[in-house]
Amino acid sequence: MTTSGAKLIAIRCQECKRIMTPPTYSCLTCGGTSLEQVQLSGTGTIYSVVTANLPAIGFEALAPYVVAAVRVEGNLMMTARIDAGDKNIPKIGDKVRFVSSDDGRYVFKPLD
Amino acid sequence: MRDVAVIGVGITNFGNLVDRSFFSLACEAGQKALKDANLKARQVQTFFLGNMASECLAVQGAPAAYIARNLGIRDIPCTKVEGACASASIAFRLGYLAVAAEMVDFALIGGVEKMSGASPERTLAANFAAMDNEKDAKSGLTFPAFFALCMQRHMYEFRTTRNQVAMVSVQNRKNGSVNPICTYRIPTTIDSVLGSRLIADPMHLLDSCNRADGAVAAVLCPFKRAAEFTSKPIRILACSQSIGTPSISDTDTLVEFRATVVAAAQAYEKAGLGPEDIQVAEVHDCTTITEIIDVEDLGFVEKGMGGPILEEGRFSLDGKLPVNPSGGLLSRGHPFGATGLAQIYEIVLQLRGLAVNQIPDVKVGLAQNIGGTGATGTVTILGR
Repeated sequence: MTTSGAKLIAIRCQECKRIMTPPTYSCLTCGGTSLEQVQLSGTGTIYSVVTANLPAIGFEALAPYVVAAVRVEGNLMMTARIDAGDKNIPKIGDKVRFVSSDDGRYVFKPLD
Repeated sequence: MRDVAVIGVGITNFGNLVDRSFFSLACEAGQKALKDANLKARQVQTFFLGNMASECLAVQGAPAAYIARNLGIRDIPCTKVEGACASASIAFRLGYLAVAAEMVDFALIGGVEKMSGASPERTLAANFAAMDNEKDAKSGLTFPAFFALCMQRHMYEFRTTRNQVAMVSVQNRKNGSVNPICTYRIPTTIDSVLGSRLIADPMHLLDSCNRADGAVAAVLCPFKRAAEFTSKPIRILACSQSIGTPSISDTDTLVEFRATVVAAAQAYEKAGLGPEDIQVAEVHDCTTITEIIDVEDLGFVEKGMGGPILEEGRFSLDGKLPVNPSGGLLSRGHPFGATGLAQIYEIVLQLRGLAVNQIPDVKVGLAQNIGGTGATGTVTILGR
């Protein structure tokens, strides 16, 4: 699957400027309903990372897999699977790069 | 708002009770609580039932109505309350409010979950139902993985050691080893915890609570009338509830649960007390790291100091502030919809002087319960 060029899209509140992951129905901070799509850089930092030995529903074939809380622009925290491939599993503070977001299934990889 | 008392409590054994039905568990706890309160079923004026997943696990909807009728209750409002793992403490709060607001004099509160007997698929579905399924679960998050993320971050930010985290399991399982209602009554060691299989590296199996069947009940009435029913009424000094940040994408920290912090602040203010006044606490140890975060969020220690202070022994049975003398979720097992009331049950026993691991001369105790990945939380302060 080629994912080069995939864009990381977020939602921004036009009133308080909070950045959120879609789908967003109201601003989580101010309750505002004027929301707009924004494109993020796709670069994030590992806030925390673990290996899921027991898989989530639908992830059985991938177990064990790496799942992380990734911090991107606007202090937004994202839940994402990390596809490290042949590389080492990234640690807290390491930079990661957005790969894909198929129906809200976020995947990041270690930054080269 | 008038003062409210707990005048009766009842509990079943917790465990893998394969020959017990959903209704039989709930009715055993309800009958025990009514008997303890010297109250007849027909005197109950409202019933709130904590239950998370009866529709899925026991294939039973409208459980409050069915359980009430099986207790001989009729013609009153009976309501199921769902807030994931905090369902029963939220039910307790609603009963407390109904009595405090002078809507009723007698409230029955229940909490029940029947988990054995459900298929693996239903068990998994019930478990994942408490997560944000539009966000977190889609990217592969599991409950152990969520709390493992908290553990990793806590160890990174505060230099909490893996041994300190494992010690929560050792301490609670030691407490629970003498408590006959607990599912897990064999003490464990740090080596055993860290030698048990990984479920969400760095989280091991013995870092996490496990499922169980079980039920709990409590009877509430105005404090002024409590002496008609019991010589040891327990006063509800506060019972607060707040939502927190249900999804990872809604939070900027995984080393604090906002629901606990907010509910604790409200409960302390209402009770006119502070964390330094609490003499015993039952906190939500769904995993080892959760307890470390809980004692910090409740203000028992400074943020980040949960590990070292636990290691020093402050929260052990002979420490300054014993935490989870019952054995906690780690020993009791975790029937989602019963746990919150099981914690309150233990604090009631401590205040009556009748707990298995009785802390001497307890006058004020606290119970803290979390639902989901921090979606909702309660803090209840009881006194005598």
